[in-house]
Amino acid sequence: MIEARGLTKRYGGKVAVDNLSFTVRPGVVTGFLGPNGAGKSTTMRMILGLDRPTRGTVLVDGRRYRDLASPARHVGALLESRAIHTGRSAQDHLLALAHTHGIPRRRVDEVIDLVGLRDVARKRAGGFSLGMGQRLGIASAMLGDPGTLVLDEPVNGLDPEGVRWIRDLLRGLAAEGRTILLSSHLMSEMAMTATNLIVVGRGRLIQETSVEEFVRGASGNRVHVRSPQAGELAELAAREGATVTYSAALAGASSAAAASTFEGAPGSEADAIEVAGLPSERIGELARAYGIALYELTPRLASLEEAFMDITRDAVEFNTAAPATSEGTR
Amino acid sequence: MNETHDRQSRDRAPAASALPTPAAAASSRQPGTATLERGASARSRRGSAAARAGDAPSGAIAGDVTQARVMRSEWTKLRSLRSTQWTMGLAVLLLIGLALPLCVSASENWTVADVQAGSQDPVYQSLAGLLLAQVAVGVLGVLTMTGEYATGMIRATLGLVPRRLPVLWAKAAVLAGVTFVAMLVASLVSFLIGQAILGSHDVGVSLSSDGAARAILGAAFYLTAIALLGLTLGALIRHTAGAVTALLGAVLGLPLIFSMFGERLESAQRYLPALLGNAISSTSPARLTDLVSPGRAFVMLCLYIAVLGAASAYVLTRRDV
Repeated sequence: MIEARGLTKRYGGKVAVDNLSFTVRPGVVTGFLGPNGAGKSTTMRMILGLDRPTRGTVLVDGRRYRDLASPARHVGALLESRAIHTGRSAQDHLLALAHTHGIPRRRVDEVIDLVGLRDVARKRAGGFSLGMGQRLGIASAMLGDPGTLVLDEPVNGLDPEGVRWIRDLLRGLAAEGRTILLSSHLMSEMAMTATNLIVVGRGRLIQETSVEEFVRGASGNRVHVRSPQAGELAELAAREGATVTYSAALAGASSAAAASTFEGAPGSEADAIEVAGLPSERIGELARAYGIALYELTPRLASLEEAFMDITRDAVEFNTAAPATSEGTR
Repeated sequence: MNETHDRQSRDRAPAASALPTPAAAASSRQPGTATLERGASARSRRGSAAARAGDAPSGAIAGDVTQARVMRSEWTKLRSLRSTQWTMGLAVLLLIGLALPLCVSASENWTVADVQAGSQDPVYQSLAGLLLAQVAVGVLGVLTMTGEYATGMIRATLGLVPRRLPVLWAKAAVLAGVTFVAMLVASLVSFLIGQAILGSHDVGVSLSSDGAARAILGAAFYLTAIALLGLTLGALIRHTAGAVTALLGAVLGLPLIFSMFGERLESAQRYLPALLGNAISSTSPARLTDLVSPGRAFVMLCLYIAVLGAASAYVLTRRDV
């Protein structure tokens, strides 16, 4: 369980994290989403007591991280940059970390086997590939068998098999009742791994929700409608503020033909339209009120990627177009 | 809520045994609903966590962080790096290696009267290799700290010991212990070889002679102090090149600069680390007139370490990493 309340981090005049509050609950994987520079890594470092918040607090299992007598038992972390001395073997690295908590050597062997680094355990970590480094990082995070895992871009540099392995590992660990906070810029990966989402932009909380809710709320959502009176329905929907387009591919007609059908009287064949900005319930009610037959009424949800781009667009544009004014927000 | 969560996590078998292979975990789970259900069942089990505590295989795998445990961790770190073996080996080699030519040269030029009058110091002659050995141990001290910053290891270290100061004390204790033992042995060997060479021309002294044992201990102590100064400079500056430059500047550069000011800074010059090192490893009364007494040199070196150590502690607990 991680609880952030009013978390703020300022570097000089620049605000990296701005009054961020969220709760990461046990039992599910919580995704931490945001464009580059949104403050994800800074927030994770504050959770781990590495960065001191300018204002606000973040508690792990009800206590400040610095006050935990046995941090490794509560939290395991994998940070964005490798936290591994290149001159040391994987085994010695893990052993040194384990000693701080009196963790026995057999646990070191266990985590080495868990991440599949047995063959290279005695080799210097400096020669490790990015993927092997990530695995070693995950082994370090698992040493104390923590109730909470904080992972910054854990699939970075992993091959497809490794990505799948991480996904299964994290879902399994969450299912055991652990708290898992995971940041990733790979939206598809997040959609497959996370259940809940914390979305940030410019250091501020944009949404704290479930993946499902997040996608449903995005403006990229459409309703696919098939009706013999599609043109009529399109006009009704447009009057309610919806944007209507013909789905040419499904109608099996060229765009010119589709347009002419839209303008003219509805033919006997069923035409397909895409309605954006109006929920399927309202379209159904409209159809009933005007006696329009419906052959199909299908809500089509945007992908997580579309939802993310839609919701964080402002944040990204703000960052790239006018970096100077971002300082002016404070 | 937190208490039950704690109990549950203690109750749980370590993840490695719960998830034997990635493949098994993959086959047992569907995306989406499966995790939700499993998460829910895990939560619902909490009520009976206390009842199930009896059949738990063991307690928590991780104990509390203690100073002794952090020291063991730092010892593992120090011994598992090749740079430790290289720098320490080099220090031993330089200390002993320089004693040979220095003592051969002295044995050809010195007279018995020089030594008896105290105008030449056979003890310091056999220990003067510390002038080069100090560079090696100083770099080792710097690397003990900056090696962690350069590789990002410091985040793992301080993440596990969030109170941070135990890490600084442990690093200092382990580094000081290893350096002192290695340099004491090297100084003793250096002394014995040097005196054997000088003794063949009757200008050597024995281990039981006045101040000889103190000078050997002093040389080892001085080299330990330089290693600790390197460690504190590493903690303050956090970059290898910068910290090594600062250390060499202070130890090798400052005495030269001070001497260029002539008599004005002569009284201050003797308090520079290098000259305190000279004082604590010498026995010649004539040489000692320009220097502080060995006892005062010891106190002054301790003071340097204490001041820089306090500054390091202050900075380490306040800076973000």
